[in-house]
Amino acid sequence: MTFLQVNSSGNEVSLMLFFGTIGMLVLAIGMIIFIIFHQRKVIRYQLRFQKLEFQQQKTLLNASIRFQEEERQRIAADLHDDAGPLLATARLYLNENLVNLDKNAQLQSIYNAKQIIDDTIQLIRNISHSLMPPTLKNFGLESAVNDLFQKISGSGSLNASCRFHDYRERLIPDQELIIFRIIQELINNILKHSNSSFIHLTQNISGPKLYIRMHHDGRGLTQADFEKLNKSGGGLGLKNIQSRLKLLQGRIFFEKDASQTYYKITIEAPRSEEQTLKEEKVITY
Amino acid sequence: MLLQNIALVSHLLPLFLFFLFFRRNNERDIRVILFYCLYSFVNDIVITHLNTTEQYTLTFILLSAFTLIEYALFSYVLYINIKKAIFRKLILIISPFFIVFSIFQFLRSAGNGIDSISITVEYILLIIYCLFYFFDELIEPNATFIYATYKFWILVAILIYSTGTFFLFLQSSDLTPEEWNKWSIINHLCTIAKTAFFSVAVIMRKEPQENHFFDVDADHLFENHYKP
Repeated sequence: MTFLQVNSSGNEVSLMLFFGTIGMLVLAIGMIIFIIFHQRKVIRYQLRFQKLEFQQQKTLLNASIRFQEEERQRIAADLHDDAGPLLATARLYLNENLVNLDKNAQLQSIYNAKQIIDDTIQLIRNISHSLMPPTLKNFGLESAVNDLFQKISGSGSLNASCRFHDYRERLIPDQELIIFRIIQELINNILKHSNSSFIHLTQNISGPKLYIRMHHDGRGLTQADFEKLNKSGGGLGLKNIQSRLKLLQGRIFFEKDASQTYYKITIEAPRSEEQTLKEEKVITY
Repeated sequence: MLLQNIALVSHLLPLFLFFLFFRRNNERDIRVILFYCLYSFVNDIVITHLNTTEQYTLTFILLSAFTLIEYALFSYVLYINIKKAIFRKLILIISPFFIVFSIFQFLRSAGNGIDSISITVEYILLIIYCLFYFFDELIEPNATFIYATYKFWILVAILIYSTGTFFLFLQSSDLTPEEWNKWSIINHLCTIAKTAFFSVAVIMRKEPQENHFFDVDADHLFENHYKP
């Protein structure tokens, strides 16, 4: 420790003591001030980040509320414009039956009323199916997606195909519904905007995650476009996808294929621990 | 002399404020600091008395004991406030070495003035421990501002006192009694600053108020929105 001690004249010692003390204090105070300012900067950055995140959540919340309102309006319009007039017409036929005493005319009007009531039943069934597809509820995501793709292919406008590689264990119904809605939304977007000639969907699992990938050859989005549209005022459907994914705790990735010919959309969704364990047991046996 | 008296009495300020504010901050580290203040006050009075009666050996013993106890108390306060396990371990490893070194120095010096080497080493160690704490705060900043916690003011007091008096005690063996009297103004000023910072720590509340950015829990609002 002798290096710490200075053996020199009194004046030199005093100078060293004075400047040494000043130097040490300046260093200590400088360090404290630096830490205070650095921390303030970090906290301000965190607050700004939280604010942005909050705004993003608010946008998503607004989008989901708007989407729900639109859905309600659509159902109301379907009931009012289609079911309402049909039932009114059926009532007219039945009224006519009361007034008209001619048996043939009565039979004809009853037949017409029956036809109209059948149409109404079909219409209400369609509305109900659009709210909750029965195939999804009874047979699961794989069957519901297959049905959807068959309908699209059946329309003849484009070729839609799907393949589920590993869907032995169904997801919980809530998850299936969310994923199905996301797929529906993506397909709607592809049909509306992409002008593609085919859509192909594949499913697979990897550990505790389920993956769904869609390919199409039309105009598509990249992740940057998706994020930009998500932050902007428009793109209600995309915001809806984002909020559903948030609920699902899943992720989505939009990209262009390496060959630059196709667009790919990958959805990652978590599987419950129970499903993962079951899967592992099957593999062990 | 006036400054010396102010510095001596200033030791009582944190204790006075502690009772004045109805002991609103009763944390362990605050209690340690209050004990330190009381001990410093009593020690300074006794040493002043011994100096006037020219009992230098006893003064030396008391000063050496003070160095050890001061180190133990400050390093304990720093130990409980440092979050990183590696730094805490370092304090635990270094401390026994310092105690042994201090005792060795005490026996070697055999009652000559101030044990400047022990004090210098003590202050180097305390400065390093303060750096550990600040490094901790730099890499893992809290949601609250650092100066809104009482711990920060305790650390500032220790750091300012250690850095401010470092050169004084380092050179103490080379100073004549006149020079020592002249330069001990640094010690008095640093003591006043230290007790002032301790007082700030004492009057601060246990838990500073958190910065609530959100008025509502947005996540909770969002949670069941889509539940069919």
